[in-house]
Amino acid sequence: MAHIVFEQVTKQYDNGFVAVKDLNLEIGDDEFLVLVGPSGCGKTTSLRMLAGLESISRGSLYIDGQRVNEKSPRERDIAMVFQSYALYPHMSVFENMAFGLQLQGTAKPEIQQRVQAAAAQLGIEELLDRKPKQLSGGQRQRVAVGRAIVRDPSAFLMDEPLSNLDAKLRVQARAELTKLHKKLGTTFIYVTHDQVEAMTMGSRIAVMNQGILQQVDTPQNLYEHPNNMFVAGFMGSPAMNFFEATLTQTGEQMVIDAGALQLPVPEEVRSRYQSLLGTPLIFGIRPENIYNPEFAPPGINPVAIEATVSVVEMMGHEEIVYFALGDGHEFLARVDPRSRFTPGESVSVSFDMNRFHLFDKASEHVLVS
Amino acid sequence: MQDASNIMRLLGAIAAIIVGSGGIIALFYVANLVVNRLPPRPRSQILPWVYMVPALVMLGAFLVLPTLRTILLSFMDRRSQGWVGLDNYIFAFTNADMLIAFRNNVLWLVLVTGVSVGLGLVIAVLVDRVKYEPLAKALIFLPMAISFVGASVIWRFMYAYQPPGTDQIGLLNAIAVALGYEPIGWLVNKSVNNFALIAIMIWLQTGFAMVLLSSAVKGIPKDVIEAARIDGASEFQIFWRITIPMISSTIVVVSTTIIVLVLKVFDIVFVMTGGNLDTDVIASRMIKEMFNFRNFGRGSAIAVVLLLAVIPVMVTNIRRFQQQEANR
Ligand SMILES: Nc1ncnc2c1ncn2[C@@H]1O[C@H](COP(=O)(O)OP(=O)(O)O)[C@@H](O)[C@H]1O
Ligand SMILES: [Mg+2]
Repeated sequence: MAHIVFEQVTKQYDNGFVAVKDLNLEIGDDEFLVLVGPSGCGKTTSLRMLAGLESISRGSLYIDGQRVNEKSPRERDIAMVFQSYALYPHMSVFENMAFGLQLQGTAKPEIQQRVQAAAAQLGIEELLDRKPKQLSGGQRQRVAVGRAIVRDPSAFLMDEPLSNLDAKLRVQARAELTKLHKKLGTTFIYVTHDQVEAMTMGSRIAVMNQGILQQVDTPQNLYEHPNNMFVAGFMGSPAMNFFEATLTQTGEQMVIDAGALQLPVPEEVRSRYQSLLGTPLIFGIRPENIYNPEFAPPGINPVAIEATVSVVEMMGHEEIVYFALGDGHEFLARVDPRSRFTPGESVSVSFDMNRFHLFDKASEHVLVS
Repeated sequence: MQDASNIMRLLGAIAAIIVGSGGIIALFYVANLVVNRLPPRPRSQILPWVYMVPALVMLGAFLVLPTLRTILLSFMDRRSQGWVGLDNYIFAFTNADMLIAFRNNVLWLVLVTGVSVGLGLVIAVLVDRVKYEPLAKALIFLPMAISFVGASVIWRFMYAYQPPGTDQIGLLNAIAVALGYEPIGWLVNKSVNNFALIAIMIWLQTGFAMVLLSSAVKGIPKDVIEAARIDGASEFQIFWRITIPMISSTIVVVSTTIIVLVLKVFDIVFVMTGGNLDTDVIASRMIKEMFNFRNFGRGSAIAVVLLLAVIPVMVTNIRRFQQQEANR
């Protein structure tokens, strides 16, 4: 168990590139924190600074209240699972898992017993005599996790540990890691570029972009109340639809005016929007908040929009439909699979005006969500 | 007159190269044509041999036959006229000078191989973290480009000795004198002369070892080293428990290559001391018996002994290589 605090942590590489900027992040004792963001946003760099593999240019890093900037990896009591697994190729699975314990000077019988226990937990007991070369990708991943848990560290760091697995194994491994976290009750810090992994595994998610932490929150809150356009667009697949818009008022009616989209603002919330009149805005709505009126559930606040179907992707449990508006703007909706839209068809779809987001166009910061 | 004959010689050499390589190409071309006419079944069986036979003939003519003849000669007298049984081998293993040569060769083998590989390994690991790595490596590798004879000439100056009281032109003795010591006869003092020669070989081979080991060290994934660091390994433990095991096959190949080279060494001894003052090695004894004393029997016997000494090393090397290929 470890309580980890990043305080204004910045990483500037020797070539001057700032990979992580002023990172402030607090990770609780038994949390499963997922660090997510597009490739190159500084996730690995952040994790490596925490592991002690990369020096910290500015700011402070605390583990359990102790400043560890200058501490070597071995003094931090953490374990890490690498994207490549980084197993020792000349050692058997048993030796791979025992290596850290041997270095700590653990007694032989105890090593034997702990490795056995960890192997049993991961279902790799029959692999203990094999060399990494003789293992499949999924088995290597387990061994890498085994090597981490056998030492019983106070925190686990994982850098995209599932990205080398095929889709089916990945889903399975996801569930196993979540279970493992529950069982061990230790701090997990998990890096991924895959927002699905983030949503399904994290007890909290930290979203990064271009070296800057965008938002930290529970998956639910992050999804429903994104701080800015980046988070809104990154979390969720297919991504949120964005339209440039302004808010206009004619008499009693308040309308979000986005060219071909004219969306009346629900009466109950109008007063809150008064101050936004005239400001350049971005209107955002998720694909699942756009419905085929025939199959729209009760309790939404539908506004009918005329659009032309351009592409239909039938997924079985849903239909992903690309629509074009009269002014050429496109958007995407996830609709009921019974819709059977056909390309070229002109249809009316319902925007749920209870579930939209407004962002300031200049700052891309959220105004209403 | 002299010029003309030189030009003729040059033209002759060029013609030989053209005819030689052209002839080989023509040979393969024609053989290939003929084989391709054959029906597929015998073709696939014959084709590999078509390419291998010329090489095998060459090897046979220039390697296997002379070896067999050397073995034969080793059982004959100095003029190769009568059989003497094992006399030459008995000489090789009992003669006082030969025993000194054996002792020296063991010294050479242990020190050159041990120090060059050890030093090469340490430098390879250290240089991996140095900013001017290519420059540092080039400097250490440079001696490799010098022939043994050239290196020996350089080191004759390093070891040069003048009687006490006169100016020392040798670097080592100049330093020794400047520090207030007597000049040392590096090449004549029997307690140091062998080591002085061995040092030259180490100087020549460390670069070779370092370059090969360095590329092996670079082949170790960074992740693996970092994983060890996170597992709590110190730099020293990483060196012993990760780096060395992971490049062990390269270490073996480099060591065996140097061992073979050391077994063959005679030029350094020849140029520096002529093998006098107890500095002979087996190969230089062989040259002496063969060409100075004109005793073909003894020379051949020593050559066979050397050959036998090399065989286990080569076998190790080949086996290791096959293992490595299998592991790929
Ligand atoms: N050693 C380095 N020197 C310079 N720039 C680096 C170095 N390592 C990574 N970077 C840069 O830092 C940025 C963040 O890298 P990284 O943390 O690996 O991203 P992520 O893991 O989020 O994909 C990238 O733009 C990358 O090119
Ligand atoms: Mg990364």
